[in-house]
Amino acid sequence: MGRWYPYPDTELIMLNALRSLRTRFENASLQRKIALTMGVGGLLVTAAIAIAAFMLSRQLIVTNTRSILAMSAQQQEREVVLRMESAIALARSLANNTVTANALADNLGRMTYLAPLLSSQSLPFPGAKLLLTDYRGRVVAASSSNEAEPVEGLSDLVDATLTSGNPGGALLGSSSDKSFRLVAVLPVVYRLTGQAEGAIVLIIPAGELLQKHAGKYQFGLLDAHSKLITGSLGGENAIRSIVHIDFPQPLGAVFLSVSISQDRDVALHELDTLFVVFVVIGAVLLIGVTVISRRAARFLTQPLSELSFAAERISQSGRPESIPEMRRDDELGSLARAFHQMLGRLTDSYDVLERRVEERTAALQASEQKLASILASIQDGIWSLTPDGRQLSYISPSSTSVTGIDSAIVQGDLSVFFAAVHADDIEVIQSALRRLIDDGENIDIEFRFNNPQKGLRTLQARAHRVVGDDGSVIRLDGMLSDVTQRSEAEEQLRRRELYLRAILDNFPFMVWLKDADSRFLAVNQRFAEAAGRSTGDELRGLTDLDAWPASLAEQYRADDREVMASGQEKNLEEPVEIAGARRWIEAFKKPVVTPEGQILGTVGFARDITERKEMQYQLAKSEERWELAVAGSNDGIWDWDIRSGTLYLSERWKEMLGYRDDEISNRYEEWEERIHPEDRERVLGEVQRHLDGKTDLYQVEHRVRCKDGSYRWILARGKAIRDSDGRPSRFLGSHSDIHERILAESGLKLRTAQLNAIFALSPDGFIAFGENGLIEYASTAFCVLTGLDGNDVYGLSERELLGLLALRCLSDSRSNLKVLESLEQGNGKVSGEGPGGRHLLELDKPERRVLEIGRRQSAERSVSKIFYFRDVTYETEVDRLKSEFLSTAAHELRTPMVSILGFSELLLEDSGFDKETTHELIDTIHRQSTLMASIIDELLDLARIEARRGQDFVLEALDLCQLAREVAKSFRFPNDSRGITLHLDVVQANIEGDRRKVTQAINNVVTNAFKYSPDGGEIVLTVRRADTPTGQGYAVSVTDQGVGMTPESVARVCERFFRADTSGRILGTGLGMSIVKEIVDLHGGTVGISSELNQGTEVVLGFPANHAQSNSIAALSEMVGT
Amino acid sequence: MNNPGKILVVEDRPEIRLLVAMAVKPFGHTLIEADSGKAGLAAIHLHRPDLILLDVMMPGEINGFGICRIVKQDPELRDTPVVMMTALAQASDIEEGMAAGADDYIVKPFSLVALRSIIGRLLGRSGEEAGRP
Repeated sequence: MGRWYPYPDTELIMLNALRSLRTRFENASLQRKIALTMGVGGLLVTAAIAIAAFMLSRQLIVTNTRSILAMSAQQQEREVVLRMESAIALARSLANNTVTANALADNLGRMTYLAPLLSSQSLPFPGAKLLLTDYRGRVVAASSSNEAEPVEGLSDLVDATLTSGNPGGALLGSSSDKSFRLVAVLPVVYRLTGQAEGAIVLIIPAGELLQKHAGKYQFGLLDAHSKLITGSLGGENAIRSIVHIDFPQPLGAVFLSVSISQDRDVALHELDTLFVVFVVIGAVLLIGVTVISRRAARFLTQPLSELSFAAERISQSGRPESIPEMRRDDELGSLARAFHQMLGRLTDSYDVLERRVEERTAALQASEQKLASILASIQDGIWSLTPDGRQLSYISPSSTSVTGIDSAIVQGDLSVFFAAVHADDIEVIQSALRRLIDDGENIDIEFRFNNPQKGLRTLQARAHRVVGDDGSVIRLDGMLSDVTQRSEAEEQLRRRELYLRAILDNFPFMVWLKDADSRFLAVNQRFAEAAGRSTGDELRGLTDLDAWPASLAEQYRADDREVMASGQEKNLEEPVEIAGARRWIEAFKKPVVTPEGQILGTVGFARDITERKEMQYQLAKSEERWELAVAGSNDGIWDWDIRSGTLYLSERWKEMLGYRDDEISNRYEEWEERIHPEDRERVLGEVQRHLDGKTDLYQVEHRVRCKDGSYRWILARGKAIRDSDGRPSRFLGSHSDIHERILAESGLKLRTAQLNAIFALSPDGFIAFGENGLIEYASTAFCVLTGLDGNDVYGLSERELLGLLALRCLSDSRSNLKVLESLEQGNGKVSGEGPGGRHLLELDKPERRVLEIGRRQSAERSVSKIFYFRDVTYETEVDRLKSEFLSTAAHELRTPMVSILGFSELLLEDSGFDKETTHELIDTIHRQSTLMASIIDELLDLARIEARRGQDFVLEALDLCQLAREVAKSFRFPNDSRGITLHLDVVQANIEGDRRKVTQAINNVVTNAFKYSPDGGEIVLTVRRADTPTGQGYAVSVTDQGVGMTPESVARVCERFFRADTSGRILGTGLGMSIVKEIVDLHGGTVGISSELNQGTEVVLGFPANHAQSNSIAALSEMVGT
Repeated sequence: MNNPGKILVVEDRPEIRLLVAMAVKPFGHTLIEADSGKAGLAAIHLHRPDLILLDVMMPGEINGFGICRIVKQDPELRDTPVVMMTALAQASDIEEGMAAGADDYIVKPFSLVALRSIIGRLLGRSGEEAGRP
């Protein structure tokens, strides 16, 4: 085990480092060396200067500080002395003061005033104290009441002064606590005696001598032994100045020095800044030095480096090259010039050398080329064996490439060669060699050889004996060549034939090859099998006659002859019977022709296409079906090849538009230009949408122009066929003729519109329920009649509709409820309700109205039932009036009949009435009969007037005045003696009217006037002007002073059978005023009645004036007037 | 039996009242006449007739049906037979009268025999029922 040092010697490391540095320096370039040397030199000089400057500055600063400190110390000393002098002067004045002296004598009083006196003295030292002692040195008074700490040695000093009578002073204090004090004792001398009777003691603490200066200095007091009394001396290294204090008497004996010091570090503080400045300057200098040294080095070494560069290039290229000349006079310059000259020489000699080399090289190359061509021509190995065949006497170098073994090795040891021969072939070589040696049989063999470089190769060896002149065998010469490639080519050829054979045999076709005599040269397996042979070889040399049935074979031979004769390929499809099944065969036959044009035979192949045939057949059938379907649907077919732009249009397509097949070509434009201009944009848009894949099916209805220029509606449907990229390649579809349908539809629309208009105009309302039993239609009239909003009833069921109607009915009407109920139950008829079983509904809202409701089940599928509503308000009212009139009239006729029947019956059953009674009865009968007759007359009158509506009036120009005169003159009321007072306000009142009717009207009114004024009174008949807002007119007025009427009676007076009299005293039919009203109304006039009960009545009949007449009369009267 | 009964006839036509009076005169009935519905009601309460003949159509506030209803709803008068006399000959009118509680109905014009027969039946007179005086 060796020794192991954990740490190598440090010195050794340093030494090594230095050594390596030195090595590096020595190895560096000249430029680096110079630069480094100058740099290090510069650095050292700069450092030395810097250090010297630094030291000098330091010394200067210390000296300067010392002098400043000395000045400060002296100033301090003077200050201390000054203050001390003033303090001592104060003490002395006190000592000489008579008050002090007196106080010493006055034991009692001194205590009271001396202490204040002492304390009132202002001393320049705050801590200073004044004491007064008596002659024995005892303190009798003090400037401060504080008990003065005992001062060591004070009493001795005081005693000395008291004894001597001279002032004394000393520095007193214990060195233990450093509380030094300056004490001055001044004797108080009685002038009389000259004796010191006491002393003034001034005590100043040493610490107060120095004034405290804040700042960078420290002050201290030193005694005679340079020992510090108070203050500070500063640090060890402090710069210090000491000055002796020259105290005044009596302190002259006191030796004190004042010390002032400053810390050296503080003093030298400024030097730090200076140091930084130095460092900066040094760094700049260093950089400068470095730069300069580099420059200088480069300047110095540049020519050298150029020279070395040039030399280097020459050494690399091996030929001299010109270098730039140095224009310098120094050593380097001369060196460069010498170098330059040397180069010139070298260049010259180099050129000579080069030429010589070139010549030699060319000669060498020529011989080399020759040699190379010879070498290249010999690829085989050449060898010679000794006659016994045991030794190799020569082997050519080229054999190396054949065997892959170095010829030199083989030459030495023939076994090396045999070791590489394939084991199976050694025997062959040996025997061949033996035969050559023994029998002289030439060798020509192939054997396998394991070439170490190329692997297993096939080699060919040939050899023969060389016989000398004497007939003995001189040697055995041979050749060795690599025939691997050749044998491999043969192998490949054999394989390829096998492959081809396999391909042919596995071909799904039958393949055959025949010679010019149609004999089979080769057929494949499939062909053999089809011909009933197991292998193709069996057919070789045979003909079709041996393979196929005779007829077929003859046909095939004919085909062969045809193909050979024409030299053209023949292609045919034919049915054959194979194994009893009928199959389809597709055959190709072609002549085999040599490049020279000689026909060698035929080649052919055939395949079974039975399945394809079957598919084609199916396809054809389905196409046929499709065509049949299209023809059956009567649709036109179009097929647009988008890529080529051709558009196939079927015959039917063209026929639809009135064209023959040949009148429209198969072009896209033929279609597009025939679209109706209004439809074109829409149709093309649809086409584009479909081609863009936005619709699954193209379907659009549009018009197409026919041959005669008219347009026909067609329905176009189609679908695009897309290629694998999804682009439409073909677009095909159909055209259906929908012209009739469209026309029918528009007819239907028109008819619907007409029906709607009819329904809208019809006063009868209709409601139609749809298939689902909900309202689908409500006519305007329905809404008007019922006040229901059409929008509210749409979609309602029948039940809901009836509910709505019930809300609008008179709620208490039993008949309404019954009608609604019946309708709701769906009965067609309502039993016993309304005339003829009609459904009458009395509405209360929106106004009083009677509606007849009909309900019809519809035969149409789309309309389940229909309600119709007819406004029968007027009709019902007329019915009501009629029946009311009938019953009233019957009543009025029956009433007089009661009297007639009853009284006549009385008369018949009993004749025992006296004559008067009998007469009365008969009279009653007569009166009632008369009444009845007049009722009948008037009823008939009224009926006639109403029925004719004035058509039987004989209209003529009438003068109301004249009529009034006639009435007044002829009218006589039975059993009344009164006459009629006539007032004619106008001369003439011309109207147009029926004379008899107007007279009847006036008579009726006058009759009433008499009737209803049974107690007499004037009856006045007046004719006057009565213009109405519509025109001029005249009025006949009849006034009585009779019973009058109540307003209710006035309102009803024109009703039929209304009688104002209810007492029975006044006979009347109740029809008179009705007739008057009818007559006046038919003349376009008015009836006005004003009446007051028990006062009388005025009836005014107003008639419009007859214009023509009045005008002519007016003209006549003008003429008369003139 | 000696008291043939009081008959009230309410009728606006005087000649018909006269006719009724003369028709029933031979049977000794006391006849009370009223010329309006109002007067009729007053007479009913005043005279308490045994039979009431009522004309249906009368002017005024109350007609024959109204009077009949009042009578038949009054417990004290309920048993008094009421005969309606009217020219209203329709079935509905007769129905209304019966609904009002009338005991019988006679249509104008009527024969005196029929009138007497009804009166006799309702008042229990055999002679009158025969229609002969």
